[in-house]
Amino acid sequence: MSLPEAQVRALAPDTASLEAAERHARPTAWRNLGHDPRALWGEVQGRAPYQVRADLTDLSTKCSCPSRKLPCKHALGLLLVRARHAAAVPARGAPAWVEEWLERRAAQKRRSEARAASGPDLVGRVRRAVARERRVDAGVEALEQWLDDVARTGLASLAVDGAASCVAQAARLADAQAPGLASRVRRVGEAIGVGTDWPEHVAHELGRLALLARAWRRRAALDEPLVTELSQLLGFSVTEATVRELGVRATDQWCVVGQRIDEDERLKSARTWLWGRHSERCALVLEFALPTARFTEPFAVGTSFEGELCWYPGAVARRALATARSGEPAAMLEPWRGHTSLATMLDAHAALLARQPWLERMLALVDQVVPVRGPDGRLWARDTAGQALPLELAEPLGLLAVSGGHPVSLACEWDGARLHPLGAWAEGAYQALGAAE
Amino acid sequence: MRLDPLIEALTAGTARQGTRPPLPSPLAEAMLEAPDASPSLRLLYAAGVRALEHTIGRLPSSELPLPAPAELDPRPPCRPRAAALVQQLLSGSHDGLLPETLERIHAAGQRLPHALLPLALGVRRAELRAKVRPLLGPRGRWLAAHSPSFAWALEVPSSLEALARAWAEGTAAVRRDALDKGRRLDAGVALSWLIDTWAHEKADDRAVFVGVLEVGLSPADEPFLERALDDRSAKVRSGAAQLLARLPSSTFVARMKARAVGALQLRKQQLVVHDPQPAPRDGLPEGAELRGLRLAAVLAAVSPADEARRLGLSAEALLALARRTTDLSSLAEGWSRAAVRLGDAEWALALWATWATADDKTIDKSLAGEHMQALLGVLPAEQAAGALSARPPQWQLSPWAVVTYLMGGTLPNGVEITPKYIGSRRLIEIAIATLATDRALLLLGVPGTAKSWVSSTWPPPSAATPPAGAGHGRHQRGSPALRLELRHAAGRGPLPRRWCPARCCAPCGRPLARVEELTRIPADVQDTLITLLSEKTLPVPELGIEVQAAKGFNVIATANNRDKGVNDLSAR
Repeated sequence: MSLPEAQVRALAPDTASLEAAERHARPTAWRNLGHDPRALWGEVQGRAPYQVRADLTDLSTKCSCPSRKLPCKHALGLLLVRARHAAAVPARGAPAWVEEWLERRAAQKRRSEARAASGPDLVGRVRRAVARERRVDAGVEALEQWLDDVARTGLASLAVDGAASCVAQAARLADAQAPGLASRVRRVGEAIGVGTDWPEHVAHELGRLALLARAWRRRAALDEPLVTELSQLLGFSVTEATVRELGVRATDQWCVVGQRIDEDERLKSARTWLWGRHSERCALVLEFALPTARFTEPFAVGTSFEGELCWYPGAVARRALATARSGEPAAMLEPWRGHTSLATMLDAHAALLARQPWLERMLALVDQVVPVRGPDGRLWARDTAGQALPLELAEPLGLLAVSGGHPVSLACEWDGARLHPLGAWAEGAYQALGAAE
Repeated sequence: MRLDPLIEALTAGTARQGTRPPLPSPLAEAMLEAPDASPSLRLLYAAGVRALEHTIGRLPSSELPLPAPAELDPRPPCRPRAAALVQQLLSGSHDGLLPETLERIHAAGQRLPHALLPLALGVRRAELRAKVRPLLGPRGRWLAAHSPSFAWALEVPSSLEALARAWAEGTAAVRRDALDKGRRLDAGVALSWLIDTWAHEKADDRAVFVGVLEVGLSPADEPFLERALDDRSAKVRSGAAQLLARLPSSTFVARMKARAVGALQLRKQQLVVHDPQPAPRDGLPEGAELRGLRLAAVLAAVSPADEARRLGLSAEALLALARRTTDLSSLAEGWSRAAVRLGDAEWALALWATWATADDKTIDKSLAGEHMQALLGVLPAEQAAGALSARPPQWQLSPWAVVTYLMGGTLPNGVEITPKYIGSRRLIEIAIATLATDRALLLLGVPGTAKSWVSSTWPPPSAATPPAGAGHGRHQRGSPALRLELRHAAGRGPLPRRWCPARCCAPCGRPLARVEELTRIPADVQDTLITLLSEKTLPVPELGIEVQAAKGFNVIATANNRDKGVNDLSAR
């Protein structure tokens, strides 16, 4: 069987390996060269003597050297010897170490063929899904029990050991595979004793949790999109493949409106708000990475890109994936059309909450608002109708500087109480604001 | 504050209180009837509904008045690249280029982009504020009204009455500006403001205000300044002494003249230096070890030209005699300060040469750079060239020749030198003067400002060039390798092959190493380099030996300020 050199070269993982393989591409570098109809083998002196074999049916190789490249330079060298000096590789019986390898490969192949023939393990998958749902159900039941206890003994008693109790409850929920609920409970624990109105805040949060638990318990009676949304809130993850399969797609010019990065010692997360200039749709892209790693999707605030997004399934399409991009991102040159007043923005928010009452933050684009310093020293956004909502901003002077008391188009996150500015259109350009919160 | 009855019930707990608080919302009311749930859970459901109602029902406030907006600035903003540079300079500590950059933006009839205003208003140093002020425009002044720390940028009123009010009521920075402006309008009136409040001012403020009296200084200020010499704060005393030294008719100068007569005397064609008596009031501290400080302070207060005349000597002759004393550093320091203050070009030239050429056994070279830079500032352009033509020992070319090589120019014999570097001549002069005074040179700046180019573009080496080398921090060499290379550059050993034949060091005729990307060099190598520069030896702990640096070993290093945190420069 002849082996064209070009075919061998195409196998190389990189050019460096190919260059290194040249040193082993001489028959004199090898001992015990041989081949039979199935395989090709030989021993080569590297840093130590290495045993190299190649399966001639699919040119997969195995070498005893410690290199992680596949194929390694020795294997490439062996194949090159065969391609260039076929006569130097005599036909003979395979030694034991080649026989063994070939048998292992054959056994592996039989196993995978058997698995492919029986189809995907649907039964197993369903069984695992049912088991998980049962665990989550048990977790939710325990959560309701805990909430009942808390309400019975009173929030005042939380001030004593509430934080620890919340941490313990969060850990139980994490064990029950409901990480979404776990993080909500953990956040309640962090709010205990903070500020003078913490009992009200904690009561509201626990109330939302109780409603969430009840909704989950009654999911059989709810619409499917809301149930999908609930399962994501509880912490059932949706794979990207599922999103691509089921999600709604839209192609548009996507403006990168703002990005916030949260970091703790284990994980950093970025939430990026995108706005479709023509479709006027909003998308939230969440990304997670190790603290030392980079995020894979490059989103530069103030640029826009042409492409397709695919939304996660649910009652309010909000979280999305960028499935396709075309062309380079370019700086945004003109503002989008936002809400003309704060009142319409609030109405839109209310409409979203009506569909998904546990939403925490939404994108709020409001045109023609003036950032004004209130009598409390806090910054407010005042619209043309004279109505104002408070702004939450670490460094208010930046926004004051770019607005100068004139109306600007403001992009914010709205959390139901305050606007958290992401950026503003001023001096004909989009200026990102307050990267750190 | 009235607490929601629902929250009250939840805070107390359903075990203690009834489970039916009155609720203002029908939906929340309905939750209390929720089937298959305990009374406590029902109460929580109601709280959840209330939370939602709070969010959805939030109304914007309509009681906020609309303040007057900032007026429009007719000037265009500077270009984005200039803005990016200004932002970098404003946020970094390397703001040496900032005054020039701001000046150029102003000269081009442009303003700063609005987004940069908070940073620009945050500058602290008075000379930077003076450059920032014209660039602010109406937007900057509008913004300044929003933060007390920006008050310095608000318009200073122009009438004496308004200034007096600002003096009485303003923050420290505003009062400083008011005093400054008041001194320009009527020095006497402004002085009377200061005298009125003097007893209540804090020490730091007193020092600042005394400094302001430099504006419109006249003999009328002497009584006040003379009293300030009794101040508790040393900063105030030295500020007052500096101003008094500028009033030739003051009794302070007369006292200092008398001390100078005692301190410097000619005997048998030798200069004899006596220790001036301590006088803390006049800025002459006590303590035997502070003799040099006292000498310098006395000489700084009198005119060196007068001193030379008293002794019947020219500047050069007096300095030549001073070189034979053990007090050269103190004498040169005092005279340098005086020459700079009086703008005496002749003495500045002579002193520059002294600092540049005196042996480092007789003069403290660590003081040289600062004084030489100041002296250079006094000299007119043509004399600055003359100053730089004094060739330090062991240099093959004069610093002036090196500057000309880099900056271009025409030699006396008509030969044209093409410029190799286009930029600030002063910067290059300072760089060369630094090397000429045996101090290592670090070119630190934003990327793309020709640092490496300058460091590698010294005149081509002549045949007699001793070894030199270049190291590059970017090369991921291990520390031992770099240290080995340093050893070869510093010592007299043969040059290892890996050292690039550097184009540097010819003018110095001595080992001069070039190090690129200093900040990317591991910390232990930086430390070695610092030891080498300060102790003139290179310890090799592996071999238990020390290598002596060749005489005059020096380093030109480059680093860029974006690399912070890679290997931050050692504390020194």
